[in-house]
Amino acid sequence: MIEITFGFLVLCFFAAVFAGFFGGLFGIGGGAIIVPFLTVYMGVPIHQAIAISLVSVIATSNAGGSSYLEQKITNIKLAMYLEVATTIGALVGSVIALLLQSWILFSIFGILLCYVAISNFKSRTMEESRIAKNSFASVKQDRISKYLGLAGTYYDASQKKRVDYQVNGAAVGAAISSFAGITAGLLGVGGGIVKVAAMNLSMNVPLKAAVATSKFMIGVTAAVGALIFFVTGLVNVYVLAPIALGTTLGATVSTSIMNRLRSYALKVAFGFLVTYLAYSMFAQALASFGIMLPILG
Amino acid sequence: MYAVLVVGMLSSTAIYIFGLILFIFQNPNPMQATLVRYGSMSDFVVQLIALRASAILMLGTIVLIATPITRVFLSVLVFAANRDRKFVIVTGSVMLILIVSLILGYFWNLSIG
Repeated sequence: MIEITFGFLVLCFFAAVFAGFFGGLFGIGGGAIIVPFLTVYMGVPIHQAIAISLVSVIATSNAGGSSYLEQKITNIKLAMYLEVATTIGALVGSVIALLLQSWILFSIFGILLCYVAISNFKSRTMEESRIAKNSFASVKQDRISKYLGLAGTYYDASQKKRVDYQVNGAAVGAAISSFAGITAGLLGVGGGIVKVAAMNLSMNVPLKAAVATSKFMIGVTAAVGALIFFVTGLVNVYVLAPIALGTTLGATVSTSIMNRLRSYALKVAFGFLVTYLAYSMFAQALASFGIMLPILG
Repeated sequence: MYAVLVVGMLSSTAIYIFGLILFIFQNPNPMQATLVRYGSMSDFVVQLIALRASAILMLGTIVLIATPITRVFLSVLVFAANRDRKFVIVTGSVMLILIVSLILGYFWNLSIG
């Protein structure tokens, strides 16, 4: 049983501001921070924590997504295209969650995150030099991207330059995004980490455009899971309210400063975040064999 | 589309703040957070009119979940109005998946009683 005091509400609120702030910078929902916080420190049962996290992901997506739309960094058509893949994935994820053993899922997720972390560190200087050379615009589009007209443009405030880009690898991107959806349905996260990586590393989308587009999408991905949990009656509104308010505030602040930051710094910070999450996934997997590794909340 | 997100964000935020203030006044002592369930729709409406904090917070949650769904629904209409057939199909299928998950959740709920 969770006892709600004034202090409990305040603590949840500030933790959520933190999660919302980083979620806004990296185009993720912050569920990866909220679920461990609620289960480890607040004693919320895991199913309720996942339900609360899913709804709060919607809150950050509303706040952050609208801010990036206004700044014209979001690629709406690309978002709509990938949403098909992520929502199908989210639906499948909730079903698979019942069939597969959890340590297998945690391990798959961990391996994937390691790959994402390594690619981020390796490409940390490439992003800015590619923007300077305008090479995002000279990549050849694939057939799906050309057919749907997915190419985009945004103004990079730290490089003071308009960045045009073509999209390629649309099929691979959709496949990875459906995987992102599966993890979303499974773990109560928006799947933003996987989506940002898919767009940036395999679809030729500049990092900041990928972050904004992901932020816009995760609300819909999370809504699939949230609907299922909400109808099932697992959403604890007393815990959810301060969390949702906090993530909204955090996302509003960070999305207003993100475009002024250097993508080099974003990539390195993102790399560290993903490395930590990969570690906690493996720790979760080992925990089911009784091997306990320390997890920092 | 921008307007839907902003309206959804502001109204759910306002409802949550109002609900939390009510909650603090209605429960001056620490209380156990139990899951809120309603027997029927009218049950919920009655509690809402009576300004029960739990019902107000539930309303905020409904507004929140409804926002991205409304956004998807509206984009189907916008693309249809622009006669963009490709994207009517793209956004229409997202809408379809959302409906399927709602139905799935409903039956899941029935099956666990």
